[in-house]
Amino acid sequence: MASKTCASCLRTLHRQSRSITPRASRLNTSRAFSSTVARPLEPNPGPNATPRTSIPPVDPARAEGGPKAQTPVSIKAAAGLKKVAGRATETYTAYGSTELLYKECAVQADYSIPQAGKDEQETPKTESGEDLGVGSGWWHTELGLQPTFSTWSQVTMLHMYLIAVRFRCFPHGNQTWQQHLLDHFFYDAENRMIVNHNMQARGTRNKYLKDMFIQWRGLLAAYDEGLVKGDAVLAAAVWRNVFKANEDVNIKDLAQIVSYMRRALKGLDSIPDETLMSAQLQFGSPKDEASVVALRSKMMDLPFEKAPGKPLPGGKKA
Amino acid sequence: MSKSIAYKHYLRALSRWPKDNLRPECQFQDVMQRRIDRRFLLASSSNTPNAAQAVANSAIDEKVELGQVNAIYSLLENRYSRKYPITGSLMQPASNPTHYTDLVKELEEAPDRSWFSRQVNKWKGFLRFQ
Repeated sequence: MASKTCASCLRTLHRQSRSITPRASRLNTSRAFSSTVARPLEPNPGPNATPRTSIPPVDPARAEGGPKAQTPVSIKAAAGLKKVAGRATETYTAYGSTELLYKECAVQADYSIPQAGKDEQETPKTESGEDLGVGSGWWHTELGLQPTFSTWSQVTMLHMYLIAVRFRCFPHGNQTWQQHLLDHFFYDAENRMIVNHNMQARGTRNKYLKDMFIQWRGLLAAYDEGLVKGDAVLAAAVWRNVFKANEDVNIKDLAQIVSYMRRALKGLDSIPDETLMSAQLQFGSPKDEASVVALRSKMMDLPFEKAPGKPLPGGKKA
Repeated sequence: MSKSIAYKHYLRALSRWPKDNLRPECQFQDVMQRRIDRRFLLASSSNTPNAAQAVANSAIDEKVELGQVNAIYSLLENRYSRKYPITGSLMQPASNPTHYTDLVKELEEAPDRSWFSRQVNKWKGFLRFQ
């Protein structure tokens, strides 16, 4: 499933990905997403940072002298080379850009396990036996989802889905871009399994990764179906995937997520390919959709006698 | 069962929820029906000593439930896809313009396929001739 790139190519495109971010002011993010500069990557992660991917680390001196010290000459040279080399370099730029795009997806429901790596402490578990971490995103605090690996994977896959829909609109290279995005996700997921959840056995990890791949394929079809058939079908798909068909779901939250997805897709529709290819994307937050969801529907005021519902499968009628 | 307005709204809203033929055992409207039966039946049959408290309890229930059913209505009337309409070519992607129409056709046909035609399709996907 992983595409093979040699170590020196990985170093090249790691450097290239750091040079992609131009300096632009941060736009006001009241939209579901915005085109803005990606967060500058810190060259020295703190002692508790989890390793992000298995790409070999860049030489720190080079990383420090990153975006700020870029000369225009090198950018022009890179652009010239790209024109000459044509599509041969696309897979390498795709690898670097999708890493930044993936990080934007993964940060949405990010969580940490403070007990990881410390032998004496037991990680607290949820009712279903999953490791329970600590998270501060909208999805944890407002939505009430527990900061577990499965929550994180479902929310990340939802955001990856939105980007994949936009990738489909590339005239060429759609497969490459989607595949690289997926590869980053699986590398990172396996990393988290090892570091946060102490799954040293490769067999266990592979089993969960296979399950996640099946979830991803199912989610692609389900959300696509929802895109075509309307908000109710999309909401049902989100309910099955993110909420695991929970009976006590808050339907207002479900509607908020659907609204957020629609807004993000509309925004993605309007940006040119190059904006996405240079990873200048930042997602907004579903919390801005609360006011839209709270609007009173006209169907509430329809009298029951004049506009009854259809008979339910169980035979009950309104 | 209950004279609650919210309950009547629920029945009407859930009856209009689209049926999902691909996942017959996991339907949103069935699970929600179970939930409202549990909640409203419990509310109407619970013995509260204080009549005023019973009214207060059910008032809290009603407001929250009306909010929920309003959300169901908003999804049924496609409020969000109409508020954020796709104006560009997102739904006719350049890499495969018939992607979504093919998908819908496939999803419609899939539940009714026989075992044999599923095997034929599986092998058709595996061996592709240019």
